[in-house]
Amino acid sequence: MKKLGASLRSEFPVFSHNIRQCADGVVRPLCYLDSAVSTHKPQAVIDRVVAFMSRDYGSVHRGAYALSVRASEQYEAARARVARFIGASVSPGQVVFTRGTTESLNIVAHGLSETRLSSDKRIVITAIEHHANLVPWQQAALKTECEIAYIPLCGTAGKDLRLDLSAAARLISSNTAVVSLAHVGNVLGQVNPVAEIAAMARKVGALVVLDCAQSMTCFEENPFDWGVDAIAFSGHKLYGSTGVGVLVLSPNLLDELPPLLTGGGMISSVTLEESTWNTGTAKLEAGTPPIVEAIGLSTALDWLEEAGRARIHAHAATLAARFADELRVVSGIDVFYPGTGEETIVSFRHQTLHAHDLATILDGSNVAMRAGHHCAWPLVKILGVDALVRASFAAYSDGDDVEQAIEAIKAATFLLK
Amino acid sequence: MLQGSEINKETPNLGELYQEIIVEHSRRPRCKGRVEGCQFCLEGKNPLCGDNITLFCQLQPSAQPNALPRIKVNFEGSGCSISQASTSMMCEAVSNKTVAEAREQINKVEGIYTGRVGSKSEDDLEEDVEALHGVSKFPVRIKCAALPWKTLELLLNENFDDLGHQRPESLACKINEPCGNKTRKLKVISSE
Repeated sequence: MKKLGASLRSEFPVFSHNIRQCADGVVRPLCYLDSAVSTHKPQAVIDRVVAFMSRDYGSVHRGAYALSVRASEQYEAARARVARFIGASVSPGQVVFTRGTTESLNIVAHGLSETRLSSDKRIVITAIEHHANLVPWQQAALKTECEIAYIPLCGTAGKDLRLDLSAAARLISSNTAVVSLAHVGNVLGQVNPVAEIAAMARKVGALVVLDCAQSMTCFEENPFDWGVDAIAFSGHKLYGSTGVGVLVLSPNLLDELPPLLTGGGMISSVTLEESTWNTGTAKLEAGTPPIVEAIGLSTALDWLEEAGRARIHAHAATLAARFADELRVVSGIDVFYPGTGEETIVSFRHQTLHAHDLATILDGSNVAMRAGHHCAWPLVKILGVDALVRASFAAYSDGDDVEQAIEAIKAATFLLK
Repeated sequence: MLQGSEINKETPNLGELYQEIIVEHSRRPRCKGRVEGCQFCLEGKNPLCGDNITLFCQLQPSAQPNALPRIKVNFEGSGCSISQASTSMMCEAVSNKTVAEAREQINKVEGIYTGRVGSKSEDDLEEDVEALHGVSKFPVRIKCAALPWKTLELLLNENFDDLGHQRPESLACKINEPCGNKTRKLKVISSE
C-alpha cells in the first residue's frame, strides 16, 4: 500500500523540478497547497500518456486501421474504468467524456432548459456553488423564464457554514424541476448533506445533479446510491491531465438530454434537410473527444484507488485541521474553516493584507496557494470579505507543508507590517 | 531530498515589488473618494482577482478661453495593494495635465510596469510611479498595476479626440456595462 505524504512525492516529478533558492538564500522545497484547483500528476499517468501517444495513438471510432482500433479499445476501456470507479451500479454506457466539470454541468443545464424547464418551474441550487454550477443554471433560468432559488447557509458572515436544510425544505417546492449542488464546497471544503437534499428533491419529483469536482478524490460512496441523476467531475483534480471531464447520467436522463454541441461523431444521419442524433453517450460527445486525456485519466484512477480515496481523505483532513489550528494563533488572520474534521480545505484572510499580496509573498517562500474569490463570488460576499487565500491538501501533502506555510504566513505579515 | 535535485535560483525579490513608496500609497491613498456629479467616470475591473476601481475625471477650470482642458482624477475602489497604490499614484501623476500629456504619461508608465524601459534604484526615482518597475518581475501582477492606467486610457479615448478636445458625442458619466444577459431579469425566489 502506498505511503501517503512526503514520501509519495518521489512519484511526482514536479517536486524535484521546483526546489527554489529563495531571496533570503534559503533553499526551500515546493509547498504545493493548491490541489483543490488542480492536483499534480504521478509518473504513472505521465508514462501512460507518453506510451499511448508514442505507440497506440489514433482517432477513435473512425479508422479501419490497427491504430484506430487500439486507440478505440483503450478509450472505451477508460470509460469502463470510470464506471467501475464510481460504483457497481454504473455501466460504461452512462459515462460521457467531456472537457471538464464545467462542460458537464453546461450539458445538463442546457439540456434541461430544452426538456423540462419552463416559466412555471423552479431550479434550486445553493449559495455556495462554484460558478460552474451557478452560471449555467442562471442562463437556463433566463432562457426559460423559470424561477431560481438558492439554498442559503445557516448563518451569515462565516458564523455557521452549513447549508440551511429547513430553508432547503421550503425552497424545494412542488414545481421544482431540478436541484443541483456541490458534494464538497470549493471554498470551505464543507461536505454537503447530499442524501438529505436528494430525498427532498425525490419527494417532489425533481432531478438531482451533483457537482463532484471536489469530492471524487476523497469519497468512495457511489452518489447514485443517494438518488442523484447526474454527476460531474474533472480529471485534472484526480491526478489526471487537464482537458478531460466526466458526466455520468442515469439511463433515463441520458436518453432525455439533447446535445449541447453538435457536429461530427454525435449524429445518426445527416442530410441537407435535417440531422438526427446518435443514441447513448455518443450523442453528447461531438467532435474528436479527449482521447489521450481520457486514457491518462484511467491510469490516474488506478493510481488513486491504489492510494485509497478514504485514506487520502483522512490524511488530507488531518493536515487541514492541523493547519487551521496553527493558523488561528497567527495574529491578524481570520480563518474560514467549518472544522467538522472532514474538510481538506482551509480558507483564510489577513485583516489588512490583501489576499493577492499575501499569495505573492508566500510564493517568495515557494508556497503555492490560491488567492481571490475562488470562482464563488456569491459565497465570498456572504462571508463578508472581498478575497480569500485557500490552502488545500492532497495525497502528497504532509506536516512539512503545514510548517513551511505557517512560517511563510508569519513572515509575510511581518514584512508588510 | 534537496540534494542532487535541480535548484531554481531565479527568485524575484519581493522588496522590488513592495517598494516603500508602493506600500505607502496603498496605506494612505491620495485622491481617494467619490466625486458626486462628476463629468466623466469609468469603472475598471480585474474580474479574475476582484480588483475594482472607479475613476472620476473632471476638467479643471481654465484661465484662458482657448486653452486645452486640464484634468483632475479621483478614485474609489478596493483590491490588492499594487492595484490601489498604482491608482493612487496615477491620480496624482495625471492631475493638472492636459489630455495629451496624460496620454503620454499613460504610455510612459506602461513601459515602466511592463519592464519595457529599464529601472532605476529606489533612491533615484524622479516620480513615485517609477516604483512600479518592480511589478515587471512579477508577470501575474502586471494586470494589477495596469488596471488604473488602462481604465483612464479608455475613459480618455471615449471622451476626447486625438488632439485632446472633448468629443461632441461624449457620454458624460458612464459605468462600464459588461457583456451579459442584461435585458432579462432572473426570477430569484427567497427562502424567507
